[in-house]
Amino acid sequence: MAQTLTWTRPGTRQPEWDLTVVRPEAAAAADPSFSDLGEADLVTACLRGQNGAFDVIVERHRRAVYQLCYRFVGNHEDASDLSQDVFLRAYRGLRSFGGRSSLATWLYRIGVNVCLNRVSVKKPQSEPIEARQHVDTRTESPSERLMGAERAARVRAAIAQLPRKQRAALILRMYHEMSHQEIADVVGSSAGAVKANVFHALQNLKKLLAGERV
Amino acid sequence: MRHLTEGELLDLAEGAQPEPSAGHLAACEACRQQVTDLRSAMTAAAAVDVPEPSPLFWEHLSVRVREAVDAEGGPSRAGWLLRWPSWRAIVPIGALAMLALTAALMLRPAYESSPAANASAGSEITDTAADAGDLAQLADDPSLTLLADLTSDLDWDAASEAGLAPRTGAVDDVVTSLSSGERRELHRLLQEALRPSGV
Repeated sequence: MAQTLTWTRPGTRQPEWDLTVVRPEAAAAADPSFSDLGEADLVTACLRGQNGAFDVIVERHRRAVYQLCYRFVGNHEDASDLSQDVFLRAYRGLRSFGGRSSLATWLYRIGVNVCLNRVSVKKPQSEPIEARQHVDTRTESPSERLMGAERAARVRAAIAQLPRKQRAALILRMYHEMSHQEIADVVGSSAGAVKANVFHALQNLKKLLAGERV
Repeated sequence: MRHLTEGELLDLAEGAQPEPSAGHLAACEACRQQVTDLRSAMTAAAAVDVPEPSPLFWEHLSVRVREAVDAEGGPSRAGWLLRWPSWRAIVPIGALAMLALTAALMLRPAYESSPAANASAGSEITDTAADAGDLAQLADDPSLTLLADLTSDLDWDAASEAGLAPRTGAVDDVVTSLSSGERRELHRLLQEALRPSGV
């Protein structure tokens, strides 16, 4: 589907520029009839076999799930594969979603488990900067990009060395702005334990960035 | 002097300022340093962004998920039983079948020690014509025909999920491994066992 927008300067008739927006995968757009549904109704519709409702769930949560996965694995390809895996596992387990937590919390729980299982068998690897062609970098200068990538790689490498619980707690707290109790719901522990994990994760991160062993 | 706990230090580093903790912090260099270190690590971590993928990536991800979901068939295969129109019929029949199998297994030692049964089992290798006739007779059994009709649409995976298929090591697994002669004898014993009770 293509859509053309034309800008004409006020007081003139000549168009200054036009912009054509092409949406080659319009078929992937979620069914609008499900767009207004709440979480419980979407899940019910999925369980009735209306997969369009699951498309809406994916559309609403795909960014958060992808970002969570990226935080664990540090590269686009693995994060993309893991995101797909998270949604597929969620779909398979929809009957077990009882609505006791929000759908986001439930998806985070699946995501953390999937990611921790993956990174335990595969060392997290940041992608080289030349491999980041999928990334929208129009706002960065080449030198900024290089320095930022190096700094990010160091921090990601340090986070990847943290024990599993500390890593999960730190990622959810720092990057997903979840409360200690929300994180506890995701990882299946108490808010106190989560606070302890975040505390030790930050302490260890500081040591690792300073070149110390933890 | 009691130093701040890990939780109190984290609260201070994250910006929460509980009054007693803040008061202690002003007087304690060690706790102040801990909070400074925590904040330093938080600043370093916060500076790491997730690179924004291409705008096309999100639709591409949705397509991949949809394709994977479509290949799944349904959220859970556990629902097949509810959708199957004859599920109410299979429950009593399944229970009856389990009862019959249990009875057969209880009677089996007697069959093994019976000379007639041994003779029957011993002759099964050469007496293929008789086997074929008996199997045809078994196939005409109306109870087996009913069971076959009810389960004709049931695939192996669905039967396994419902617990209808034999499990490795289960007693009903033994029945599926019987020879044709043994099955013939089992059929005879079952008929005998069920006749007096009028079933």
